Amino acid sequence: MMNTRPHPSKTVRYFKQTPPFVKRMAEDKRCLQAYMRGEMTKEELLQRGIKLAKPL
Amino acid sequence: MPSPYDWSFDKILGVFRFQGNNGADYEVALKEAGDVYFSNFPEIKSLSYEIAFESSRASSHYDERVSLTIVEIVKAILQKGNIIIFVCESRDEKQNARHKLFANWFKKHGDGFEKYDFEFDDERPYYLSLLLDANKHTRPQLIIDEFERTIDEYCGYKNT
Repeated sequence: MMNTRPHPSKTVRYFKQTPPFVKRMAEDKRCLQAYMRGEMTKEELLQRGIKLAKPL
Repeated sequence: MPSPYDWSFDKILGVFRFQGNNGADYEVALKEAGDVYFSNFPEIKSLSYEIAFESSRASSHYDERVSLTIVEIVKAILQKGNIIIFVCESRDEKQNARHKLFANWFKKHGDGFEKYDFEFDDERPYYLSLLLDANKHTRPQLIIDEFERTIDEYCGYKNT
């Protein structure tokens, strides 16, 4: 049985600097959205190191 | 009571898809992310995914069923023991509004799951959240600690 938590959201942690990989994540997300809009191909995603996943 | 739309995984496109009553197509894409964050932790590495959503047209009104469908897809992924990483888009400077919207969305639909928020106060703020099902991880704090260590390592110093 699932253990439901009344306040599942955890404390925010603040950082004064954005690590490069977080900026890269934001860029990759834009690419994923461009792909879903038909503006990028799967091959172009792969060239950027973006591999689509099927986690189910 | 609204119910989720029927959704499926498109093997050719590699995305989850569903169609709303307004005729719009909605897609959910996931990217393998473990190599970046948890390369030293093979068990976690294979479970981490970045997520993105897109619709074929801008919605003219709020459709509860779209939210419920995305929730259903996200929960199905988390219940497999996966970790989802969500970054709020920042290019149009609306990341703060998206962060609040996501927080409200999680407050409404997130029972049974855990969300860990990280805010980066750079020249342009970035908001990032980790979603997981703590019941599927024996030591969820290990995941968070490792993610924070990764950030500290990249930033070169420890924040408060």
